[in-house]
Amino acid sequence: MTAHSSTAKSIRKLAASALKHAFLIVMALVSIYPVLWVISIAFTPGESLGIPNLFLGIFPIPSSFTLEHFTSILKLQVVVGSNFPVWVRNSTLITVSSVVGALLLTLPAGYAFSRRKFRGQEASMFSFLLPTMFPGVVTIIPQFLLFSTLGLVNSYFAVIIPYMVGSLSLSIFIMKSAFDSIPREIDEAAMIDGAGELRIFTRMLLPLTLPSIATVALWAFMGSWLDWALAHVMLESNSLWTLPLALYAFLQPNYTYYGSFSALALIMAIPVFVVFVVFQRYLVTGLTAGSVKG
Amino acid sequence: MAQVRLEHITKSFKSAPVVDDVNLEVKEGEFLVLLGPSGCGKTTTLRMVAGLEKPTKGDVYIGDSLVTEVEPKDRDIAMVFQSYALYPHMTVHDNLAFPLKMHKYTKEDIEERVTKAAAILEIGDLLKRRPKELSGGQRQRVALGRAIVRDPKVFLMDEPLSNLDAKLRVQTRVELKNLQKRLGTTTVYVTHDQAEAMTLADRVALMRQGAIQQVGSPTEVYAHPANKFVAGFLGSPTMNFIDGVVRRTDAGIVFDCGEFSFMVDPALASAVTGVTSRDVTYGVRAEDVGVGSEPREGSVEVTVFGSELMGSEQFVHGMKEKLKIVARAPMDFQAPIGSKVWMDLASPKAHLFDAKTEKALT
Repeated sequence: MTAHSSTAKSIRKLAASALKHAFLIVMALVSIYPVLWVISIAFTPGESLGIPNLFLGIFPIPSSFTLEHFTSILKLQVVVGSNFPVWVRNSTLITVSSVVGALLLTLPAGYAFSRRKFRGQEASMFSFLLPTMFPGVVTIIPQFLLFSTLGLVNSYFAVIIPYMVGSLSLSIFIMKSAFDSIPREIDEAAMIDGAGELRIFTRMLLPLTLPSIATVALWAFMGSWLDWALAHVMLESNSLWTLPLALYAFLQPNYTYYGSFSALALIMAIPVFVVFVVFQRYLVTGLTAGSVKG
Repeated sequence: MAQVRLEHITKSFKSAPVVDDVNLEVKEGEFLVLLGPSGCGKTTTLRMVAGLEKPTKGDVYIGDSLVTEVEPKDRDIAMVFQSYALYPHMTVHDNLAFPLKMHKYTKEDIEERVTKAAAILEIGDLLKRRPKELSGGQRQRVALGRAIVRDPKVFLMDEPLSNLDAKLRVQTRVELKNLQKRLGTTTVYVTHDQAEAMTLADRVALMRQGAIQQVGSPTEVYAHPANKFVAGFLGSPTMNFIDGVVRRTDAGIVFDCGEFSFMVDPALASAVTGVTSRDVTYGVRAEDVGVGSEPREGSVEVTVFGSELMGSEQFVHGMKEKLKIVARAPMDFQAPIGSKVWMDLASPKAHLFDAKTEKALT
């Protein structure tokens, strides 16, 4: 190989690498830009969108700093009978119930699909997949009609139940795959050692699938904590409002509280951020669990 | 310690029998090895003793109790799996303690038994480690520890040494045999490795296609195989088999395979009792084949196509037309590839098998 062709090759390699990095930087900016913008508005005085303060016309750096929006959302009464503590309480109660409910449904179902043989197993697995083939919003109206008939609209159940089952199909797949990755000999060894099926499930299989359980829990958590559409349809009473509904309330037809809106959006993001950071290691393992047997 | 008895055990998957009408008795304190090739039904048989599979037909007894319908946990057995099946999220201590906790032993009793088992298997310094922090040999010991800790009536072992490297396997099987004799616990051990079976077993049960071919001591099944399959499965290299005819003549009994013929040892005379000739397979082990550089009466000239030096001895592979014959020779025997040597196949330890039924005639 000549020195000339070697240099040309390394230039080509460098150019390809630069192009790849430039593309990734642009994509990263596109995804992080709205976040930076929201942060900027949340800490900028006034209720403007903050466009005049954009650094170099692109980066949203606040020209002056304030915490007034965070204090104001604690006091602000956008609607009668509802305020920040109520929204936090409702969101927490609904989310915790949905996550616990989703786990109570998903874990035994994943176990059954993995460890039991029953008639119609494949068909039921497929039927779980069916709802995922339609946009989620399509199901809202039939769900509203159903809950309305049951007299459950405008109650916690109207959102908790759909949140519980909303992530079920993917979650069952994740858990089935996680249980499948545990050799059956573990169950059999425990069985011979004297454990019953429930004990094998709780003492052996659940501890060994913690990463997948964390993934499923996070999935359910995100589905309920951040949902606006279903809550907007199901929860009419102000006293039942969740954080996303309150967020929407800051966008009034005649006036928009952009500062408070952004501050509340940041507060809502904190638990999500914390969960991601704490469970990061588990989540990566959980999402890939079962992909490679070993 | 208890005997294990299988009576007419059959196990079918999708109507095809995997284990077919097996009758077997394992005596109290005995080390019985179920030996056979992959898919012969030996593991399924073991799993039926464990209660992990329900027989389609037949009964399993442990001691005097009929346990066919009894749950594995209530059979008072312990099993060592091929993969060890250690509980990955528990320490070695907790792995050993688990069966005791399940059987509601007191805390003091658990600690005493765990310590004792750990001492027997020399894993006392590993008790705080998790399985992933152990070597293959250590994991194997922990798996054994979990089996012995409860002092069950029967040990069931499913190829427990197959994941170890060759050297460790040899060392561990000696220790395992010693341990079993010390504890005196009835053991059913599954393997496809005939060397393992020969070294470990008090008795070997050879299986093929779901059926037991022969049960006997290692010496018995090796020296007096019941059929051609048993003769071929045991021993390395595999027994030489030559198809042909045996004839009773005035001079004695002659074996003729078409390519060559020779007088067989009078010890094999019973093969032609009542008949003048018979289609047979002549079987003779490499160690019973004489080999020399010069022709002798009755010897067969073969062309050497390879030899395997095993240390103090070698196996010389010869070809006669399409027929391959292996003979054991001293390490200094000269047998270069392509050279001619003479093999003497007549031996009192040779075997004759019926050509159709493959059953031993001698």
